[in-house]
Amino acid sequence: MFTSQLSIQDPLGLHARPAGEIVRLSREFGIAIRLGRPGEALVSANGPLALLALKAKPGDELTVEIESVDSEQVTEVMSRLKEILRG
Amino acid sequence: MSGLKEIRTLKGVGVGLRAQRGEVFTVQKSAPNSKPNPEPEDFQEEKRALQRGISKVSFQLNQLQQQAEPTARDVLIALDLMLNDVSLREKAEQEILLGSSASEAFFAAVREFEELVSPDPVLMERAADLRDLADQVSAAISGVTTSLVLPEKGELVLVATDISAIEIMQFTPAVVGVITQFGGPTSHAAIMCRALDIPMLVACSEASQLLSGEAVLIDPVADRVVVGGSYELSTQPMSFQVRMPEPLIPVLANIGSMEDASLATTSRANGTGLVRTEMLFMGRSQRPTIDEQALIYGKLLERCPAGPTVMRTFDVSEDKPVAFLTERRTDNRSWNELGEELIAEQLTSLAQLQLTLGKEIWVMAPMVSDARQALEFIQLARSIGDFRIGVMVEVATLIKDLAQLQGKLDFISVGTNDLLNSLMKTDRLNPADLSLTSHWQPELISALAEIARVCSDAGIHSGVCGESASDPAFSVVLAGLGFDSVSASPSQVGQVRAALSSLSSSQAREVAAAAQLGLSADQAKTLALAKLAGFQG
Repeated sequence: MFTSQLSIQDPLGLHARPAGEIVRLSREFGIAIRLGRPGEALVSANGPLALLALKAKPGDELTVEIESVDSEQVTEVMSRLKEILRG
Repeated sequence: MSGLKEIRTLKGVGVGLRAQRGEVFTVQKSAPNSKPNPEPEDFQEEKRALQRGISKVSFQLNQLQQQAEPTARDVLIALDLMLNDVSLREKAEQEILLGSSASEAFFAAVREFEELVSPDPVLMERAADLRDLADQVSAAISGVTTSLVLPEKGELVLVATDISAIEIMQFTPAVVGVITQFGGPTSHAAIMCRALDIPMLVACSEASQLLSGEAVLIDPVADRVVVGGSYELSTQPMSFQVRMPEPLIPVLANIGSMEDASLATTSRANGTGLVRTEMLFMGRSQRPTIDEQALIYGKLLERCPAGPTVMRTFDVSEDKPVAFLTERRTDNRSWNELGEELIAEQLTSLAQLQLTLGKEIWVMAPMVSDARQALEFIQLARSIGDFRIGVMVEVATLIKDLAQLQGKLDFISVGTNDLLNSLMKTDRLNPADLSLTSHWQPELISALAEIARVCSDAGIHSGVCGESASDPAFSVVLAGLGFDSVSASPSQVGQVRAALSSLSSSQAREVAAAAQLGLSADQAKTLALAKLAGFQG
């Protein structure tokens, strides 16, 4: 499992569109992705609502967990996540 | 011409730029149909019923996606993802095990989400989308059809408590407008109506007063519905013959979001005349740090048009859903009622950006009611950064003090909506009269003339950033009265530029003089428009 930190760059925060894109990313790769505030319980990206309920605003740091041991896959997913959170 | 003609208007938030007349068609939604709670052995049956309901609605959404254009399709995809959310279904299934019927269980899961995200206004709109989906699921479970039955012919303005994206996809060509009691301008329904060019008024609290068959005018630019109104009352763009490459006075843009900033840049605004800084922190319950503010203002400034940017310090004079600000509100209306250190932090982040971005930042304070308050702000801002410093003129008592600020104040910007309220309260006129909310009100025009004159004598740059500056014809009056700039909503910048590029300074002064002859708002508007039209020939 891979753990890292990401910051929200999207000026609107983590809103419906990026939340949906993360869910689809998780499905596309068939791997579990979890997000949450550092030090708090993470939520699974298997649906957009739990991600929205994080109420993440621009500048907020989020912990991300990717359930995969394939480092190439992890790199690809991380770069797609960064792009999604950039807005 | 009577300024006291009885006209009923309902206020709300307009979506779209085009006014539209039509006949009210009220949509009654049936209450969610709920079966008696299941017997313990029926739990599995209820779970299957829930699954069937969700699948049916999901199928419907997928069907609609096929025929939708891109904006609508994105909305429908987002709705489908929300509908099929795993955590939502798990919560509903738990509710079923506790004895709820499938419909009740889904509604309960939606309510839980709603409580989680409250009171964030944007997320509450997503909760409203979910409630609509729950209505559809509930109807699908009980086998009731939710499709709207709408006539094919006519010009109908749909009136409902709320409307969902699915319902909008079922509109017939007869639907020309929509009025809803709830909902907001960034709801999925509003996004779709905008894409379909169907004018809409949302958050119209009195919508239920409208009766089927009544003729109404939706006037989205003025955020209102006029009962029995004709197109003459609409806030419509006039056509102007552009004669000069640049307008008589700079036309800036008012900005409250990142989208506004991008829109303003494409609209050729000469700068930004008002940034509503508090709007950038909507839904925030925690006070942003100096660095965080700098990050957000920095992103905004990168998107803003070239030219100066006027940043207004945090304002809570209206009901704005900015929790960390509204909780600091006091009864003492003034720019520093939120605490001077909060404003000092904001100015500090702006001073940092001015150095790093090299952007020309002007700062101004809202809610200043006399020279003493203005001087307090000037002193604070001077001690923090190398800004041009100004104040809003939106409280009538400040006008008589303006001359005293000569040599100390760099600029003023008039908030015409609040100034009009401030002027009218003292006059105690009949508030039922529509003309009192019009910026063509003679009391407002003479106050504006006075402000422009005093500022010109005192060497203070004068601008107008209120709603009136978004009215192209009125912007000509403002230029004619002697204002140095106007700031309009980004969608209106093009029209205001066209108006101010269609005539000379002396002609603008004639239009202003005509407006000043009016004894009522109606008269002032008619006289000014006639004069203006004469110069377009």
